[in-house]
Amino acid sequence: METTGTVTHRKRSQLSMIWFRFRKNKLAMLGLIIFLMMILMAVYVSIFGDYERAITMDMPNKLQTPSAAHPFGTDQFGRDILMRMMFGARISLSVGLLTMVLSLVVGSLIGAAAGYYGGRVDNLLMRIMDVFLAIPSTLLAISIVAALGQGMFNLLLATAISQIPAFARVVRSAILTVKGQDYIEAARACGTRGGRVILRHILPNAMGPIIVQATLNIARTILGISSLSFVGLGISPPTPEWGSMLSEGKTMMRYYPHLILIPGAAIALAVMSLNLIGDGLRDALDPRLKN
Amino acid sequence: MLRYIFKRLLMMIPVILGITFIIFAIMSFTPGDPARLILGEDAPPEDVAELRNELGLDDPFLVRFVRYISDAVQGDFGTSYRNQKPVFDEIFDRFPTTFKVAFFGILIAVFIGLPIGILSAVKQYSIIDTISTVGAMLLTAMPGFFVGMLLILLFALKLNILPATGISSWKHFVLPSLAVASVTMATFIRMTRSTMLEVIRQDYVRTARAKGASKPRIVFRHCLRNALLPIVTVIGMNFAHQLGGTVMIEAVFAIPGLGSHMVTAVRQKDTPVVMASIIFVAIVAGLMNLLVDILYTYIDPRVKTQYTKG
Repeated sequence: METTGTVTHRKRSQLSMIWFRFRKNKLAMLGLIIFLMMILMAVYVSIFGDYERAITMDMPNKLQTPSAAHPFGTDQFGRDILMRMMFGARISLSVGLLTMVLSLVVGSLIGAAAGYYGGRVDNLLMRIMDVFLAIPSTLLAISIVAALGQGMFNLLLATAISQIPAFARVVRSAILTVKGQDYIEAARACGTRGGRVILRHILPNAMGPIIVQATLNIARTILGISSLSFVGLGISPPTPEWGSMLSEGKTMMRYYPHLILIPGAAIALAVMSLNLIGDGLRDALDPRLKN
Repeated sequence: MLRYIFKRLLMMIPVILGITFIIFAIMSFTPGDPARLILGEDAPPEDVAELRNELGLDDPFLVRFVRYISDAVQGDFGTSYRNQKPVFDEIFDRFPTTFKVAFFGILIAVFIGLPIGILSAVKQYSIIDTISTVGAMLLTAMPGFFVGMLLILLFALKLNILPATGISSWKHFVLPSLAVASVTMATFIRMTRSTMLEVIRQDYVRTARAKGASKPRIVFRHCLRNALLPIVTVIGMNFAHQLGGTVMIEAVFAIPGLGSHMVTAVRQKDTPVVMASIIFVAIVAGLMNLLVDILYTYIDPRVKTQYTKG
C-alpha cells in the first residue's frame, strides 16, 4: 500500500491516539503489564492449587523457609504463602475494582448534578461532600465497618463511601470545564433534557480526568482494604488477604521476615502498577500536562 | 485579616455540625446496646431497660441528636461508657503523643522531601532526578504500616539500635516518625518537583537569569518562593491528616495515641468517645487549614489583598 504515514495518522481515532501515546511511556506500560499479570494470577490461580491449600492448617509444616514445595515458604499455621498471596490478589483486586465502580457511579452522579445545575444544588451537594471529606477516611471506613459488621460487602461499602467525595469533585470540575462550550449549548438549544445532555454530551468529553481518578482510586482502595484488615476490621482470617497476612506475620517477623515481606511486596506491586498506569493515562489523555 | 479569620471560624460550624450528624447517625442506627455495654453481659434486663431510660436512649433519634448538640455547646460531651470519665480527659491525655509522632514525621518529610524535590526539578532528567522519582514511586506504593514493620525489622530486630514499641523516651519516637515521614515524603517530593518545574519555565525566571542573578538566588528567591504555595497546602493537609492519629502506625508501634483510642471506642460502641474524638479531630484539621491559609499571606502578598477585600 502506498498510503503514507501522515494519512493514516490523520485517520486515527482519538482512542488509538491515546493508546499510541500511552504505549510510548515505558513506565506506564510496565505498570499495565504488572497489573494484567496480577489480574491473570487472580483469575487463574486455581490452576496452581486448590483454595483449600491456602486456608487449611498444616501444623507439621509450619514456618518453613522457601523450598521447592513452597516457593515462598509457609506461615505459622503451615499454609503455603504463595497460594495465600495469589488468592489474596482475588480479594484485593475484586474489592478494589468493585469499590471503584460503585464510588465512580455514585460520585459521578453527584458531581455531574452539582456541576451541571450549579447554584443552590451545587452548593448543597458539595457542602455535603466537604463534610465527608473532613472526616478522616480511615476513620469513616472504620466506623462504617464497625457499625455494619465485618464482611466483604460491608468492607466494600465502607471503602466506597469514603471514596465518593473524591469522584464527585473530579467529575464536577471536569463538567464545569466542558459546560461552557458551544456544542453543549447547541445540544440544549435542540431541546435535549438535562440528564441526556450530561450522559451523552458532557460525560464522554470529560472522561479523561475521571479515568485517571478511577485508576488511582483502585490503588487507594487496595491500600485501604489492607489497612483495615491489618487492624482486624476488614477481611477476617483464615481468608487470605494481604493486610491480614501482614498482621498475622507481625509477631513472628523477627525470625521469619518472609511472612511480612511477601504480602507487603504484593501490596506495593499492585499499588505501584496502578499508580504508573494512572500517571501514564494522565499524560496520554492530556499531552499538554506533560512537562 | 481578623474579619477573615472570624469568617472562616464561622464557616467551620456547619461542617462540624454535619460531621456530628453523620457519625451520630452511624452510631445510633446500628446494632449494639450501650446500656448493655456499661452493665455487662450478665446484667438483668430490667436494669438495662432502666439505664437505657436514664441515658435517654429510648428517645427518638432527632431528640437525642438535638440534646447531644445542646449539651455539647455547653461544653458537656458526656462520659465514656467504658470508664465513666469525661471523654476529653483521655483525648487530651493521648493527643500529645499523636502530635509528637505527626510533628516529627512531617518535619523529617519536609527536611528530606523538599530539598530532594527541588534538586530533582533543577537537575531534571539527571541521575538524581531518576533516583528520586523512582524512590518516591516506591514509597507511595508502600502502606505506612508496612514501612513501619520494615523499620522495626531493620533497626530494632537486626541492628538493635532503636526500640520497636512504646513511648517512654525520645528514641521510641524515631521509628514511628520515620514511618509517618516515608509516605508523606513521597508526596512532598512529587509535589515540589512538579510545581518547581512549572515555575522554572516562567518568563520571570528567564529574566532573572538574563540579568545575571546567581543560581542559588534564582532557585530560592525566584522559583521556590513562587512554588511554595501548593507545597505548603500539601504539607498542611498531610499534617492535619496525621493529627487524626494514624491508626495503622499506632498499631504497629503499640503507641497509645488518638487513632488507636478511636478504633477501640468504635469497636466497643462507646458513642460519646467516638463523637468527641471525631469532633476534636475535625476542629484540629479545620484550624490547621486556616493556619495554612493565613500562612499564605506571608508567602504571597497578593493573597493578602484578596482576604482584606473579601
